[in-house]
Amino acid sequence: MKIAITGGNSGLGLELSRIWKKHGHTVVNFSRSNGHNIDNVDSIVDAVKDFDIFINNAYSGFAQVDILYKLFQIWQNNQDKFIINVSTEQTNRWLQNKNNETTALPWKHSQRSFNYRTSKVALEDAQLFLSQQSDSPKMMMLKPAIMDTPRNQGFIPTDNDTRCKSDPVKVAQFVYDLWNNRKDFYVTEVALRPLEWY
Amino acid sequence: MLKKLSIGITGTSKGLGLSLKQKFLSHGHEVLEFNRSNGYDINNPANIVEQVNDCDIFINNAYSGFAQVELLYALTQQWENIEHRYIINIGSERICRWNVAGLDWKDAPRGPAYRTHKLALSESVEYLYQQVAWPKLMLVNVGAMDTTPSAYWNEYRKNLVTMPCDQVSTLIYNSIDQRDQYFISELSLRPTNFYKDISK
Repeated sequence: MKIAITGGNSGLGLELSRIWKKHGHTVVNFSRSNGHNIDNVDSIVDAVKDFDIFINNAYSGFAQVDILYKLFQIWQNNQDKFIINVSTEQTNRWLQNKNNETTALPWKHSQRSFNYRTSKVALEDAQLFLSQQSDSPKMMMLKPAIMDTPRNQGFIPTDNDTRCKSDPVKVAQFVYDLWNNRKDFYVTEVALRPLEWY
Repeated sequence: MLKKLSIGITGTSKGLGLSLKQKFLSHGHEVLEFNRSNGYDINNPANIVEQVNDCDIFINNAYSGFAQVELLYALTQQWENIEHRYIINIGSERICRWNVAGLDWKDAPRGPAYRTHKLALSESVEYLYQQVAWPKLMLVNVGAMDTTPSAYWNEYRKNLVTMPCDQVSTLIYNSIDQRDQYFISELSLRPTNFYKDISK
């Protein structure tokens, strides 16, 4: 199969690219590193529309929502297409810790982090809405916790730094298996959480 | 899973509960069952909470109005701050949509309040997750299972695509098995030909 992914040259996107490639599929990456910008929604949609799977991974404000909307229109009622939208587990919580104290969680006091969560909530609602318009394309919402990647080094400055981050290789393998095992039913949403936050 | 685990499950007499019970037993774990047939009623959570005190995993499967929510609340309190305890809550894919496929909402199987009860369960999982570090809570939103229908399901099932119990319990088992640095906190499933079949 032919897989298009945005942001496939680092972090979870890189591991997702690798796992599909490992199983013999063709993966094409669209990221700034090779001259693409997901804010140019029309050109991304045009470039990925002939693929079988689109992994809507890279984040830039509401660009993921816009790409999903336009691609869904083109792929509507096409049983062979599959979209994996990458969101975040942050959408499932609204406190910072159990005492509602400020901890080193991503969105504290930061407009950028606030925008991030808001955009991801919009992405999840967009999939929910679109999934009721048509049986296909099939869509899966992936809501990972913070990944153990070079970019996130020191991002959560706690003594359990490695315990609260997920291994992107393991997560990619799990997501691949979920997709690959689709048959009578498929997974529309999968959320991960770190074992240790507090 | 390397260690032998003790699992409490409600509603193991049929359907997904039965399949989950068999899955865990086949992997060498111990299962404690809570059914009406052996004297338990999920509307009386205290009895069940007492019995599962030493379990590693509790599967909140049987449905009865808001009883799942109250059971989840009671057990989360009981298990608060005990490490390596997990509560798996069986929700419904119906919370992932706001139409009742092809039916008037008043005719929905299990009554119009079913979605509301399952939505409350989902909300409780999210809320309680933010209150406690342990136990870890998981929500699995499933569709109708391919089990022997009870009378009120018959009409609805004519047009329904069901999910094989064995595949779903395998998926839940494999997801629980992922717990290490992270755990799977939510899974939603949908039949592959959902809208195609209901439009017939």
